[in-house]
Amino acid sequence: MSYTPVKRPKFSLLDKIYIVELVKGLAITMKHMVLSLLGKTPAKKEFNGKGMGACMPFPEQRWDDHLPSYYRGAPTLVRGEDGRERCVSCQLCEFICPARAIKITPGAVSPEAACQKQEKAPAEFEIDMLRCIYCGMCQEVCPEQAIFLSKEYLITVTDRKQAVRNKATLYKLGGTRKGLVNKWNQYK
Amino acid sequence: MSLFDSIWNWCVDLLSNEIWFYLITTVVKLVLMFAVILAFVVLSVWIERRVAGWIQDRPGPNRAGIPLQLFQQFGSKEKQPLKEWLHFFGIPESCWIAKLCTWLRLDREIPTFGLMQPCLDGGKLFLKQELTPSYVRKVYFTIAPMLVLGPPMVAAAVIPFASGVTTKFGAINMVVANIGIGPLWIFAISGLSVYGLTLAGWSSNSKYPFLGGLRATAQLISYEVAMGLSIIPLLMVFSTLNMQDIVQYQADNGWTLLPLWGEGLSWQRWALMAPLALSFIIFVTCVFAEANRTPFDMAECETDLVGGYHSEYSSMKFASFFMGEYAAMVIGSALVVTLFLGGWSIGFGADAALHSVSSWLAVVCQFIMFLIKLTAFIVFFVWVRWTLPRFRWDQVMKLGWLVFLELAVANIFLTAAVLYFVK
Amino acid sequence: MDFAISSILFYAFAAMALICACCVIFASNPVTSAMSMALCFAATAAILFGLGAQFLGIVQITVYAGAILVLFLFVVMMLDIRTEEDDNSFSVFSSLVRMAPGALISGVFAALVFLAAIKLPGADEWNNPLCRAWDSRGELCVGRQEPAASTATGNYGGALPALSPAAAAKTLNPNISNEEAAAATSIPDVKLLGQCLFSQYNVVFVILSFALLASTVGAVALSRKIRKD
Repeated sequence: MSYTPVKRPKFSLLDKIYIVELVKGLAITMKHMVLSLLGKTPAKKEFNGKGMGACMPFPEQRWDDHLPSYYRGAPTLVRGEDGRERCVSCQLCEFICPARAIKITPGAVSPEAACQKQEKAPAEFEIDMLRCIYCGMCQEVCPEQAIFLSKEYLITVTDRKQAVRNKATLYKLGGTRKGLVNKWNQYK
Repeated sequence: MSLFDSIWNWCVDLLSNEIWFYLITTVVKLVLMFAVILAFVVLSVWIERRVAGWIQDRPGPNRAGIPLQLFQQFGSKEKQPLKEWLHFFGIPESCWIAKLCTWLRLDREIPTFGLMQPCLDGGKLFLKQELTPSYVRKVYFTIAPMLVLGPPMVAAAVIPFASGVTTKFGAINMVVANIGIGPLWIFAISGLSVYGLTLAGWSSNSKYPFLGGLRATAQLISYEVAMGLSIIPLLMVFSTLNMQDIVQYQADNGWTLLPLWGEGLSWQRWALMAPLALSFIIFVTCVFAEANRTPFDMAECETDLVGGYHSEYSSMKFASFFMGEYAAMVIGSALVVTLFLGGWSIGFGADAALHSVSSWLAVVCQFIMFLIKLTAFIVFFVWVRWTLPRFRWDQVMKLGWLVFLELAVANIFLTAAVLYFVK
Repeated sequence: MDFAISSILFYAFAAMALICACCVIFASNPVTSAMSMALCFAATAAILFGLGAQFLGIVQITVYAGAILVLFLFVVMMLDIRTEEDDNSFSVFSSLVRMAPGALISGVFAALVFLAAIKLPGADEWNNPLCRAWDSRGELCVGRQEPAASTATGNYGGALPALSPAAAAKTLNPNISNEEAAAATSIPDVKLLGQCLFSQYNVVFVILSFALLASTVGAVALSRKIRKD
């Protein structure tokens, strides 16, 4: 058998009349209401809350310190320790992106760059933050470890165009990442 | 004769005319009633969100206040109003008054404890883009929200909000329409709001709204029957259908559910407690069902119907549905308060005592009492909403037709038996 | 004849009821038909309110507009009846023949209603919307004839309210006191109707309810599906 029959609980007549159970339920919600009005909600300490309930009053107190290491925020582009653009514009992330938020215009590596081996670099790299769903697939698929999800979660724009982040912004947000990718240097 | 005197005399002349007196007092009462209902629609949205928050261990919307920057913009940017006021009254900034003001966020805004939130929500909905899908039946699509919002407002006309006063021009009864069929008027008129829901569902020309409209119709018709039958025991006890008389009786002889003074102390009255309590339970449940509130919000149950009958609506049209629902809730609460919890009466013989001091004082106190009771019952409405899960559709129908209808009919016979054998 | 506000309202609502009744027939969309019927009921209820028969008015709204018509609408929407299209396949003659039975039935019905109306007490005052009604020994009397001296102590019946009901009662009879005028705001129609139904027409009433019950049981029996398992 591919399914297991669930045993429904038998209700007594008192349960069926419903009023006693209703009063019990009302008592529970009333307890919560009174406790949060008094500011004595049990979970308050755990959440580091203030005032009524167990809430963190947002703009004054933030989640930043409580974010787990695996938190997935806005995707950013990173440079290596040597200051090299890690992205080689292979367009795998653009291909994998389920929301089609990424748009890459491939170009040549700039002639001033120290390392010319990788031949290609993005001429433009745009991520539309209105489309991004923070799934992290771009980070997972990147063979160059060039795109990472940051812990940034506050993205506010006043205009649709502002939500599209270009290459310069993405590099600024990403900064440099420790750990050398030895693919292109002399150690390979 | 001065100008003021002539205006005064003109007013006295006008009020001395019976017809003008009737007209003016009625219009004033009408405006007052309308203002109360609209204010309570806004207030009940706020109550709903705050109480929901507290029950779920959150503070609820407590931020929206009146920012003082609004006023600051007109003056110098550097001046802080709070500091200026403190200096003006000569209060040092380290004093407890200053600290209290800072704690109340008075340096930033005028606190309203989030009461501005519903107003801002309304403003937001007003400014939103209005989308009318191309496939709807336009005429009915447009009038449906009006048909939902209108009836509760009209139904409020028969609810008494205080007793009467006698002025030198004539008596004023503090109810807009003092007609002999009070509860029936409310049932009939608020029952009409089902047209709005049905037409909204049909004119949207899409499946989920249609199902929502059908559910709303079936549910409203089912529960209206039980609702009408459940108050018959009450009418047998009061032997009147006039709301003002019902409340006056309760003020003199104890509230329906709290007969602690006047004739209410007799054992005959307490013998009637069982049928009256039963009728209270049936009636309140039916009011929940009629107002389309959880646990009976089958018509807009988002788990199976997206948004129910208002799925296709946006902006102010959606807001009309929203307001209509809350207005129905306010009217339902007012009806329950009037029939079972003594309406405007303060209780324990305080009404008569206040009347002997001054009838205007009595009227004001009774009006405040009515508002307090109304607020309390709205909180109860919200409290139940955040306690009970939504019923299944077949359970709702079964409850209406197989349980409440039978119980209400049996209750009528029970009341008749008690009245026959006891009195 | 001076025009009281009540007369204006009476004619306005009467016109509205007639126009809506025509719309019920001539509208091509069944939902529009149903909605005009609801409006027609509402206008009729408003006329009843104006006559002081509040209970009848509210029953009109509750039962017809609030329940029966909603069910109509329910069925119309469920069946999704399309807008009726012009059908030119019949000749003028055959369409006349098709209309004839309907016209005949409605003509007979209208004649019956008219006959009943002129037989009613107070029918000679058909052109006066300020027609009075009063309660004499539990019977509703309509018309200008004064109540007999022995029943004069009964409730002073209602009159069409001129604006303030009390003021209207005073225009009809300047001698009555304020209290009496206030008591005259409406016909005690709940009482009258109850007395009528449960004494004079009690047997008919009970038989009718049994007929309705029988039809309900019949409908349930017909629509019930017999399960094989």
